[in-house]
Amino acid sequence: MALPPKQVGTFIPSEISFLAENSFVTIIPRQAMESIALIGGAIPSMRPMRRIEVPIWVAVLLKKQSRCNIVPPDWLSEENLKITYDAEAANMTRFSANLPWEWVEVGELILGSAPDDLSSPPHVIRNLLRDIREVRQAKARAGLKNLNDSYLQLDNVGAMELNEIRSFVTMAMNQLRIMQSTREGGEQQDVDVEPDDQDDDDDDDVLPRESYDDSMRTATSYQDSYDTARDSSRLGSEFTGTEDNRASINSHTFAEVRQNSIQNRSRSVLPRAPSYTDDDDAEDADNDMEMDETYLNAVNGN
Amino acid sequence: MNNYYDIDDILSDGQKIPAVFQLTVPGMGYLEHGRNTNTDIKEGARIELPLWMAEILAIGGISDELPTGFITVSTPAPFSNKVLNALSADPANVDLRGQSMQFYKFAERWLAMTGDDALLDTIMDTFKARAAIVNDHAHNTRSALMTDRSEFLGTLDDTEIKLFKAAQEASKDLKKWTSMKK
Amino acid sequence: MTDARDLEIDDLINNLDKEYYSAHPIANSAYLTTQKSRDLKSLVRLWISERTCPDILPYAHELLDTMLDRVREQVEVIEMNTTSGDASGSAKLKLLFVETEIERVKFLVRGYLRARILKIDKYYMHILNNPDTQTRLSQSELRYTKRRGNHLKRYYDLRFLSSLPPSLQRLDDTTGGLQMVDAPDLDEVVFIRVLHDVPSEVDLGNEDKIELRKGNIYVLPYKVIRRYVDNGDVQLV
Repeated sequence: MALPPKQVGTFIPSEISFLAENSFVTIIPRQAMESIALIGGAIPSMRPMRRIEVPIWVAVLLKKQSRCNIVPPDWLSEENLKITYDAEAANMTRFSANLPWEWVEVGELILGSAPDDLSSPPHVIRNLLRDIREVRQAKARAGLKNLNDSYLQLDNVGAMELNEIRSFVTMAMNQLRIMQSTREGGEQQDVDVEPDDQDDDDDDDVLPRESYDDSMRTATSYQDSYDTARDSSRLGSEFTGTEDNRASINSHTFAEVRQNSIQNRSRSVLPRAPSYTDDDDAEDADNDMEMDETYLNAVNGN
Repeated sequence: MNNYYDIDDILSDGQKIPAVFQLTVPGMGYLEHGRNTNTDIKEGARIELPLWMAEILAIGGISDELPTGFITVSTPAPFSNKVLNALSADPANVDLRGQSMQFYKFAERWLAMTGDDALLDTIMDTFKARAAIVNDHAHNTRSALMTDRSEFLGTLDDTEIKLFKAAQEASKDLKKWTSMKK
Repeated sequence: MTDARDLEIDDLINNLDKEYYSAHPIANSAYLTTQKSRDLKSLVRLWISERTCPDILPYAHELLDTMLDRVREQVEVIEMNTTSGDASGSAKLKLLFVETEIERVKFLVRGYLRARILKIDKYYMHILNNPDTQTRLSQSELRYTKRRGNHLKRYYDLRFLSSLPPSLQRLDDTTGGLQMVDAPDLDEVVFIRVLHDVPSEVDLGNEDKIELRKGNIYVLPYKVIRRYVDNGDVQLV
């Protein structure tokens, strides 16, 4: 049986969480236990009070049996979450590097299975996590305003956050890419188009709800403000052919506005892909990496 | 690009293109009048043809007498200057669905046919601007409440509806998973 | 995988692990260092890649065989323990971990195979027409693809194709702008994370160039990043 449609091209949250359960967490055993041989390696033998690292799914099972306490990762302390929140709020164009790749999932897993092991009241931690989520979501949405057909950069995004926008971003970028592929030089057989001369007869009810005159003025002033700083040579020459045809028919205001707008739409004004990194902040980036190492190593096949 | 079995591609094949016949076609008058008649399509007749047919008939240079093809086409209403100007002014405020249910698919096909880069830029800018709003609505954000939800959603074309559903589904799934954990 | 080879790889990796532990003194678990844990991580990776890649990736024969052997071994452990009748708390606890982990591994294997079947169903005609793609399938996947192709052809023939003129009966016609064969679109975008710095900029084929620095996360067309996925500089996420 093939994959359910819902899981095509994306993951469901429980699958992302499943992956995070493979990452490691420190526990303090409360009882001794012999080493257990597993497919993915052995759970080391445990002695009371001697810290070891185990996959989160092992830790959660032990915790359920009251055989261990879970040591929450440093970033999950109230103090560090507050610092992280401030860092997130201070820069609305990039994600902070204070959180590991699986922060959403690990946060949920530990809050759900070991709330009594946290150093602060669980609701305080939960609220902080929620606040951080919200401020980061706002950034992600702002970043999506820069969608394009080329690439997006999302450094320090979390696994669950990435998965939340995955379907949307994939579909939108693929659509833009397909449209972009029709650009001149594509494989298409160009067909000459007769000039568009019937606008005056069109019904206004299919058009925008606001007054059409208003929108026209807006369009014109928008174009005026961009009249300089554009590379219209290629588009300009291409337009000449159409222009000749246009001269032979009843040209009107729409045609003029159209001409302006064509010249204004050169590739140079296309938005650039957003970047959440300060490129010259190399030292910072190194620190980020160290923080992430445990998680990278834990979840990935490297 | 065009998927043989894709229902949206098939639907976009049927979008109407305004065409002018460049020669008289005997016995085909029923295309023009929609009835069983034995009349001809006269040279110069204006008929709206489905895209798949227009695509074939409009290809020029088949013979010396037909440098422009059997028909000449003109811009379909959804891509008329009037619509494009409105889109440049305020993409969120145009009823795309009213223009064409397959607005972007149709645009794709029309652009592949004509190679109109200026039109392409407007369409792409429109898509980007509207996609961001679609995303806001799918996540029910505060900024989304600035525009009338049901009114805006009613203007989405099929591609945008798919986007909306994908974003909304992901958002719902995550909320459900989070509340499950509590 | 032979023991000798395991040892050799272990030596190599142990050196890397030493570096890792000096940076992370708390990671003292034997769990991290073994070939077994690396194999499991590879399986996780495989599952993610197959789910997120538009193309059908080569079937991971060796790893799958290894993992399924290990599942069988663990099933034997369970059987031995249940027949020995040891009902002590520690015996039960041990079984709980063994059984839970078997389920987790089975979930990954099943997920991997299902992700592949999804693509095989969709692109079966493309696969049947491309010997190169066929080499990426397992024996049973290839058998499945061929049988699926035959069944569909027979069914369509019976229902309607046989009543059409022969020239219109094909299911893989690609003439005259017609494209009946659905193939993986390598231009589709994927999400990737950079594992190692790549010295030269990557040309995206339009006017954009990007740098690949460790930790970067990008969304871009699979085609432009594929070779870095293949050589392990970046991974699909």
